[in-house]
Order: sequence, then structure tokens, then C-alpha cells
Amino acid sequence: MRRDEPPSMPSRKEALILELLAAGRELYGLELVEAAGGALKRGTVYVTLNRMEEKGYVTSRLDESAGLPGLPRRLYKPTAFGQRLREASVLLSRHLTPARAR
Amino acid sequence: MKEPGRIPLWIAHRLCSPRSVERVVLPAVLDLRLEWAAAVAAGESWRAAWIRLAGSARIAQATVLQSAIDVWRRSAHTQERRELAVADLVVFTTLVFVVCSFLAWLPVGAGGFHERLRLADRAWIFVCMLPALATSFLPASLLPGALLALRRASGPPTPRDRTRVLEVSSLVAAVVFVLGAWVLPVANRQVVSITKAALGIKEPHVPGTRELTIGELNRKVAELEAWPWATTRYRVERHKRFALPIGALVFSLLALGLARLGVARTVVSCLLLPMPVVAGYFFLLRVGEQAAVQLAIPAMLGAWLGNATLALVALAAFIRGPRASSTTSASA
Repeated sequence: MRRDEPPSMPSRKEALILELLAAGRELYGLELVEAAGGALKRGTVYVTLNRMEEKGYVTSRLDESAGLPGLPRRLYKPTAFGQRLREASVLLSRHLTPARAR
Repeated sequence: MKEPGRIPLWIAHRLCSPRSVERVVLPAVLDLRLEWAAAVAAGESWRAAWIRLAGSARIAQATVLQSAIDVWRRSAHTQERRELAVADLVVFTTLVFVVCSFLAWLPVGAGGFHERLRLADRAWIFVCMLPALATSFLPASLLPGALLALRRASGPPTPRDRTRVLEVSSLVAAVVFVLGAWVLPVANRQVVSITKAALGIKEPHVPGTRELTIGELNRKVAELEAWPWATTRYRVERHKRFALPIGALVFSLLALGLARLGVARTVVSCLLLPMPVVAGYFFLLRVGEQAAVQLAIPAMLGAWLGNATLALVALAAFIRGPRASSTTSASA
């Protein structure tokens, strides 16, 4: 993420991924797709994860124990910034929207 | 049996950055291969084939998305460093050509005789009209394209900007020259012969000036040497074959001149400003051609009237505009 720009709120897909990763266990792309129950597509999940990593929302590591030889799995987990962003997003959706509606 | 995803991966390596391949494409290939291997191990050959097809489509989707992001990012990064995004220029020029190509369908259905044409004939007429559209619209689209590419740079264009605009316009000029000199006449002949066949016209066809290649135009001028007035329309056409490609360079020079003046800073002005200029160019080209054929002005002047006028405007813009900053060009 560029440091001279203020952080923007995560998109719906990004918020969903952060929500799924918030449980604490590291997940790889296909697990996220399965856990999302159709809300994430296999053709776009890795593009979204890559952008989220560039923005600093998630971090990843290679899992050499799984996958095929030469093609290890990439596991994702939220960063502290991503977790705070998710909490802020949840707060916004719970509190600010009704306040604005009033 | 070969592993799936090899061709999409090969394409991705050529379209995306290495990091994007590693983070976006390789995980998708891994998913595909694991799923495919499970289906093969279970002896489900149809399912394995379907997984291969669907997985490849998903990888293609991810590749296209990521390559678009990569191109956008490179372009934005380039412009931050105050260099010209040639991508804007090329993309815009191509876009105009594609839109015009679709417009080429209109005359095929609007002639009244279209019901007599077979679908294959209509398709062939469409293909044959592409060179005509390219020779007219590609040079003209360089003006808005170059203005769009230069608009985000603050201050006058740098020497590097000028070089890049002229590189692209030289390429367009070369393409337009080849199309106009050899491809367009053949395409025009095809359109005429298909149309005449559909209308049932049996008379022998005398090819018009636009159906002759440069060599054939030269031969016609030599044949009619004894009657110079009869050679005028051939000489005008011969000049036009050179004038339109050079028009690409003239449009680029005009764009650079207007960018120096700073008259087109927004997308809307970059798109609207060229409209009257391009319309005026083709009006002058048409008027000059007609005047030359009627012997009111020399053939050369008739064909080059549009280019000469725009070149004068570009020259005036260069004279009036500020000089390129040497410091910014050095830093770029």
C-alpha cells in the first residue's frame, strides 16, 4: 500500500475475505471460495487476494507441505491493519448507517 | 496425458508481471491440477476433461484481469514519472478503429440491395471495408489519442514525449501507406464486383481511381501523357495515397502543438476539440480533390490542401507555445 494515501474502506469482497480469515486459521484461495458459499469466484479470488496483499490487508506464505511438487499452496492470514480495518468496517455497518438514516 | 494449465500459464507469463504470475496465476493452476488429478485418479475422464476446460477458462479470466491491472499500474506509474503513456495513444487509436469497423456493417444493410446479398458476401464486404476505414480513421484518431496521452503531463511536452508520439504516428503512417497503396484498391474492387453481381449488372467494369494501385495509377498517367487534363484525377489520387499517411504525422504534430499551448487538459476537451479539426481536414481534402479534378487548382495542391492547412496551424501553435522544459526532460 502507498503510505501517502489514506486507507480506504475494504470492498464487499475484501470485507468478506477478511471476515473469513478472522477466525484465525490460515486459508488458501480455494478454501476461501468454498467457505464463502458462492460469494467468491474461483476466477477472481486470487486477483482480489493479490490486491489485498498489496494494500496491506493480508499477508501470505508458501505452504511447502501441501500442493504439488514445485507448486506449493499459498496460505493467507489478515495483518493487524487488515483486522483493524475489518473491525472498523463492522462498526461502520452496525452504527453509522442507522445514525445516518436518522 | 499432459497436465492441464500449461498453455494458460505460458500465456500468463507473457501478459503479466512475474509477481502476478506467482501470486495470481500459479495458485489457480495448482487448484486446477489437483482437482484434475483427483478426477483422473477416480477414472472420471469426462469430469477430468470438464475440469481442464473450466479451469483453463478461470485461469484465462484471472490472467486478463491481472494483466489489465498490471497495464494500468505501469501506465499510472509511468505518468507519475512524467513520461508519456503511449498505451493511451495506441489503445485510443485501436478503439476508434474497432468502433469504426462495427460501423462498417451499416452500409452493408442500408443499400436496399442487401437482401440479394448472401451472408458470406456481406461478411466479405465488411472485411473489404476495413482498409478504407483504416486509411481515414487511423490518422485522424491520432489527434485525440495524442492529446489524451499528453493531457496529464504538466507543462509542455518533453523531447521524450515528442519522440514517442512521432514513433507511434510513424508506425500508423507506414500501416496506412501500405493499406492505401496496395490493399485498399484490391478491397474496393472486391466490393464493386460483389455489389454488381448482386444487382445483376453485366457490363464490363471500368475500374475507378480508388480501385487502382500506385503502380496502375503511374501507368495510367503515362498512357494519358498526351492529354494532361485527363490525367488529373489519377494524379490527385496518387498524391492522396501519400497525403493520408503523412496526415498521420501532421495530426501528431498538431497534437503536440496544441499540448504546448495547453488547450486540452481534460478528457472531454481532448475528445471534443479534435472533432471540428478532423471534420475540417476531410472537408478540405474533399474540396481540394474536387477543385483539382475540375482543373481549378494543381493536382498536388488539391490532395495536400488538408495537410498543408493543419501543418500551418501546428506550426503556429509551436511558435506561440512555451518551450519544452529542459529540466523535466532531463529528469524523465
